[in-house]
Amino acid sequence: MLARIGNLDLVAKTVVDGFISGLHRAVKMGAATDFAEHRPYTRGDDVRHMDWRLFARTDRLYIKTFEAETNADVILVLDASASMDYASGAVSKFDYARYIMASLAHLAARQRDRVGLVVFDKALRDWVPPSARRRDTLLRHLARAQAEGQGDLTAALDDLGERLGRRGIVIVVSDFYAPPNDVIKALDRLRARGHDVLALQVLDPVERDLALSGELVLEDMETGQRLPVSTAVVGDGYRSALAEHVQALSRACGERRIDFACLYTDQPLDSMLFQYLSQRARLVRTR
Amino acid sequence: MTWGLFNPLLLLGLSALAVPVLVHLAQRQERDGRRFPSLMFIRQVPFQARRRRTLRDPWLLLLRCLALILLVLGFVAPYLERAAAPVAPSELDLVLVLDRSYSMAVEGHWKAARRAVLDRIDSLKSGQRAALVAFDERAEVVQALTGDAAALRSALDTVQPGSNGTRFGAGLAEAGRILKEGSARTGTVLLISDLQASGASDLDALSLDPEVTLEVVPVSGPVGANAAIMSARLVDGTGLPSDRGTDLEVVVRNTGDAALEAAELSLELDGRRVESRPLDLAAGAAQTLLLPLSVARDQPLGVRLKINTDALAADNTHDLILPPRHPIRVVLIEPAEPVTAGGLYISEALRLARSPEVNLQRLSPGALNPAALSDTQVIIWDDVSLPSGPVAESLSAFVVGGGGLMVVAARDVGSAWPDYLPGRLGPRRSTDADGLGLIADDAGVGITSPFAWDMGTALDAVRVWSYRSLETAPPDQVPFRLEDGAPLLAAREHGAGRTLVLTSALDTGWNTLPLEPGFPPLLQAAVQWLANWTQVPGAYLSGSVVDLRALAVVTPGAADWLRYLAERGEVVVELPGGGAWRLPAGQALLPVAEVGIHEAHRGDGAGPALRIAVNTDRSESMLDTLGAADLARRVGRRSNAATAELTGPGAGAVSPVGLYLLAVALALLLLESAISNRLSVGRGRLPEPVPTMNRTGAVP
Repeated sequence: MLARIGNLDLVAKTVVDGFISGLHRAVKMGAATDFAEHRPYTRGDDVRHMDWRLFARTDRLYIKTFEAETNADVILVLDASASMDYASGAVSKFDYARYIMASLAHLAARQRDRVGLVVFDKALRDWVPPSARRRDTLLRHLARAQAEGQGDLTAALDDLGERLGRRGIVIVVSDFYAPPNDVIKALDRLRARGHDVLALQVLDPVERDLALSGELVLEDMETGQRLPVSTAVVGDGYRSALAEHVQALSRACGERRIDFACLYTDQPLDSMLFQYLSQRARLVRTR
Repeated sequence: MTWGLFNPLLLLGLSALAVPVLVHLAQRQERDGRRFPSLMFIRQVPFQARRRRTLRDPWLLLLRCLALILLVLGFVAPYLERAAAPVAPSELDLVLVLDRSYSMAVEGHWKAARRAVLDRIDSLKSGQRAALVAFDERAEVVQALTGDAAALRSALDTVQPGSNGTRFGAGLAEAGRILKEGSARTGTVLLISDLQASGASDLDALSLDPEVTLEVVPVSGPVGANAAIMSARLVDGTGLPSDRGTDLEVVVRNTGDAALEAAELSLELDGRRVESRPLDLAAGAAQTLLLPLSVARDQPLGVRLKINTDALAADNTHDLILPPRHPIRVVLIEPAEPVTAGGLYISEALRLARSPEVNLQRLSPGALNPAALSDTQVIIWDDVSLPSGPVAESLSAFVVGGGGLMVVAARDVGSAWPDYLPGRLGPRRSTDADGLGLIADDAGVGITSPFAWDMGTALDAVRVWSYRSLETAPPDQVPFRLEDGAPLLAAREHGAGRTLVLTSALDTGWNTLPLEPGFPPLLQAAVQWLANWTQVPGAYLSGSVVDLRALAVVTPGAADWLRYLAERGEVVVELPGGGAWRLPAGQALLPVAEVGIHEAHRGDGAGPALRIAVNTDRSESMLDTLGAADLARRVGRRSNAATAELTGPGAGAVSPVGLYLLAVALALLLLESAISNRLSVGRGRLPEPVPTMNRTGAVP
């Protein structure tokens, strides 16, 4: 799978480069054009990134410009609430989300971006700080993550916003099972802090179509609540409500220039990524 | 409302007859639920039902229906008996819950809210009682339940928009309490508010009685331009001659729905206007301004930022008390003739410290004496033999008494290893040419916290080739380890003091640590932890509790305050509005509600005043609103308020006739259970429990 994505990188270089460079334009506002190893300290620079050896020697202040620093922080935010554990086929939503994250980490690492990971349910559960060198660590944490417990997307994203110091690209992968207004406000608050936000909604095809037959007792995977339903009776209403939810998220994200895509686990991951990257690149070019 | 056999509510009760029909129609019960990601969308479908194919056991069905009819009649009997009785006033209780947060001061909003309250007061029925609750972040009963409309109007006249934020839960909970403590549990809560979305954060904890009806009157309208000072903070420079010094970074946002034009932001220092900047902001836009602060900071400095005019006055002022520069006093003990540049690395890294600054004195071991220790908060012992004799005793007493000691233990620390240092020092170990990296292992000490998020790469490149082994055991902490698990930095709390041990020299032959950009913040964080230094906020939010002891620590000349507070001295607080408040003797925690600058004075008049700046919570300035239906839904989800209208007055009172009917119904149900069990056993399986659906279809 990753090999195919790699091929896509080569074949569709414009799309992928446009994707990454477009994101950087939004975040760094042109600062990344200076690739000097050192540059004089200017007001507003973080003194913690000072080249300390030069300072001790010369009593002049220089900022050590890291290779990674010229690129963006990419924060992958993974919803690990129990609802993500649903699978009608071989791949659960959580697995699919992890594949997406691994692929995006791979793409970002190729661009020498600093990639970090945040796993949350009702609060931030696990994190790997953004780094250009810790992709292996990130993948280990990703592999170790389990989808369980109740989720609280709003609280977790707000907490994340408080913790993220440096502006970057925040990619949230979730089923976004919360009222659209709450989701949008949480994403918007991240965007208001200067981050470029991408929201990827992952759904299972059975979940999308309510492709279950007969009269059932459905059990909510997060709350454990049970509800007797006749799929024939509620099917249309359910599909309509879900579609409305997705459309509300898509529309509100579009209005706020938050990128949004809805992905289904029965579709090949690489083609979905390709489709999304193409869409993202087109958006960037029109900005 | 009168009650009779054809009352719609009674008919609604009879509709429960559908339940046994549904139960009888259930032929394919599932014992186990099928796991599904979320039921939130299914719950939005207006009605769910099982389709069943055939009726089974019609006699059993009739029995169940009869039992239900008797149950309904049993509960309705009191109403039938009291059909002609007048409704008691307490059964119509109304609580008016009026939002007085500062956002209600928008022109037109307050007037509309008052109008809504007055209309409702005017429409009170004869004998009906009402109460008035005003709320912002807290609720206040302005008028308890009364049938006196004039008293309610007078009470309304005393309420004005204040300077606090919105918490719907506070007002609704108070209203629920009033109704609950009234003579009947039923009643109506009428919420009048601009329904700011930020005020809904405490609704999840709200538990409103299910029998209470909630009505919402939204107050809305154009806001105009509203510039809010969202935050203000110090941005310290590097302190070098080339630097400009300290700036005040101010973030202003126009949260209104119109552009802000030709406004002005001014800066006052201790009441003296020193700077102003023009403000032009589109609706929703934010601007960050840097205002230079070129003033001496040997005393706390009162800063006030003001915007001249716009829709909301409450968020136009922001107060801040800038703490005086209060350097940490550090002594660096180094060899008389250093063989490494460790001392240079340490001194230069600490020279960069700004919040707080560090005053560093470099001494050789022989120069250390009790006098030098008395004025020192932290000692850094850089790879020199640990002392013996009287100096060792002084050092031990220094730590026990609250001092901080950091020992760089590499070459020459000697064989003595005092018990106030963490772990047991072992021999030197060396690695291959690749060396070892660092792992931040324990955030409990706080030294690693600067590296948690935005400093991910600052220590990434550190390589360590040589280090001393150190055997540690709880309660020692190890903030940084090497990749092989060996401690690089270990911590211990001993007496009132704290100690750290670094197991590798600050020497490029041992490691690259001092050359990395993360070294200065690492060393600064270590010194702050050793000095037990804590950041005191320059401003508090209204509703906070201020610890006067923490303020006393950072206020020059206020050291006696701690003793004074410990001896249960009385404190007088001058409030911004001009009043004064006496804290109970011995109380050091001051709750602050009023916006502005408070001054706390010792009751005996000695010592300097402690100054406290208090601002409003600026989330109140974000004027996004919640729909009335959304709010009702969020309350109703927990309280079932939507069903309240279906609940009649006097519920719970059962008449003798009703008791008789209920008893018969109970007997029929027992009979039904017995028959049902017998039939089920005869069919080879137990009957499935019947889920009871509420109005949303959820199974409780």
